[in-house]
Amino acid sequence: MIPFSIFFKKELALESRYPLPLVQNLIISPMVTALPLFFVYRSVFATTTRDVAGWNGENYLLQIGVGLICHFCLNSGSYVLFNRLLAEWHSHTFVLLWFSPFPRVMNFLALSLSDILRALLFAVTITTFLFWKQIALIYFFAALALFAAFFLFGAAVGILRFFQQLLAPAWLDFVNFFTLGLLFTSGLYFPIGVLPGILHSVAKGNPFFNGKQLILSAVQGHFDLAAGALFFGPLFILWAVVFLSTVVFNGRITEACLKN
Amino acid sequence: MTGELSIEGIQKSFRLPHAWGIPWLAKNAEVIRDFSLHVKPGHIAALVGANGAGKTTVLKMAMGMYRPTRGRVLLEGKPAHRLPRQHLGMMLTHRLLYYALTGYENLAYTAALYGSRTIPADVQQSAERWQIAAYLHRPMQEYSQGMRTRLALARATITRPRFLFLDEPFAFLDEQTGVPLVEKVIRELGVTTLITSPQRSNVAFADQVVELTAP
Repeated sequence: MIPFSIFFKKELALESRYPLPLVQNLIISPMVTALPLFFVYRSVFATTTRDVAGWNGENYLLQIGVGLICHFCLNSGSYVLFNRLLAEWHSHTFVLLWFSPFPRVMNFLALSLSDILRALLFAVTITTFLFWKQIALIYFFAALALFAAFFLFGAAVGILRFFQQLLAPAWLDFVNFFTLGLLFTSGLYFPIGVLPGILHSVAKGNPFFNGKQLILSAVQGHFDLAAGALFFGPLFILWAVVFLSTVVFNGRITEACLKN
Repeated sequence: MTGELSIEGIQKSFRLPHAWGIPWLAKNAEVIRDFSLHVKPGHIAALVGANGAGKTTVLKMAMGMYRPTRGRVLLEGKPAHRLPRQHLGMMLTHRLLYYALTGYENLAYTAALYGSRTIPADVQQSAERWQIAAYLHRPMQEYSQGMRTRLALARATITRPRFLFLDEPFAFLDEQTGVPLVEKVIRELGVTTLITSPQRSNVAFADQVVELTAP
């Protein structure tokens, strides 16, 4: 059994001594995106009764709130885990993690335990604030589980980005561009109905968009199964790629570790 | 046999990338040529030689982390990757320590990562063994280089491994207390040990001293 509590204590100890990056990643980064949009939407919907591709005065707060938590969970997974792994690499302590007797993918996830818990705490706080009167407890917990799935999506991307940074850094920009494209058509902060034809079709198949739709449906008291398939399908594929990469690149990462 | 280390005719070449990054202009550089060594269980073997002689490369191949181009390394009669990783203790040139943590936190983390179930007792025992118990709760920034080396040694031995691989452990240790301490602790633990050092005088206590020269 992986000693999760020790990982957690170690990460907390490191974070408490260097708190500024944490504040940047967790508070400033998602808020910089969400807050201006919130003010724009409020100014639009407060004065008119317009409906923009399903977004209106009644649901825009819910849409932005869920989008913000999704963004936070994705950020905690992809951005924070990637940087955490890189920090271990640059301080040469990654060797400990790589040669530990526990499964490597589990070690990576354990490394990010404090992020998982923080992302869930954030999700609990905001969903409780937004929805506590409107939804049954089972849908509330389902929504939280889905936020955790969003974190896992980001975590898989973070681990793959890390492998790529070590083995083929020249291709990293391509992955970042792809991820950025997914975020651009994710509809986390805007209705995808406003996108032009082709982008609209791309957005409909975007796992981020479908993940958000799934969470929205849960907090509204039902489950959108089609969106669920389009979210969990890519999630499973991504994790299969992570497991496969850990096996395939095992030798090359080991050699890279020791040259580092 | 438990704790037996056998290196049989290993050779290692690295591919050196060309300065312009053109793959077919890359050259092979041979670092080790036909090297053999047999270390009996509980014995200490030392690799000495000038800078660039290949001591660290042999050490890493012995740990099973570099794959030899030719030849083989056997720990207890099988390849190193088949041996449970908690049986291998290592201290590389980078000490594998978190400088933002205290000594205790560093040791506890490693103990947990390598499967210890009695972490506080293991940490205390290892710290006492390497005479750093008094500094254990201080942040690493306050440690001198010598203390950091001792902490790294404590970290490498905390899980009571069967094999110990130490890459230049004497770099910051003083000859009067540090070097005898390394010998005393390794003898007490009875662990099969491979040490690298550029200075022969530091490893005079070893059961075998092998001189390496660049091919």
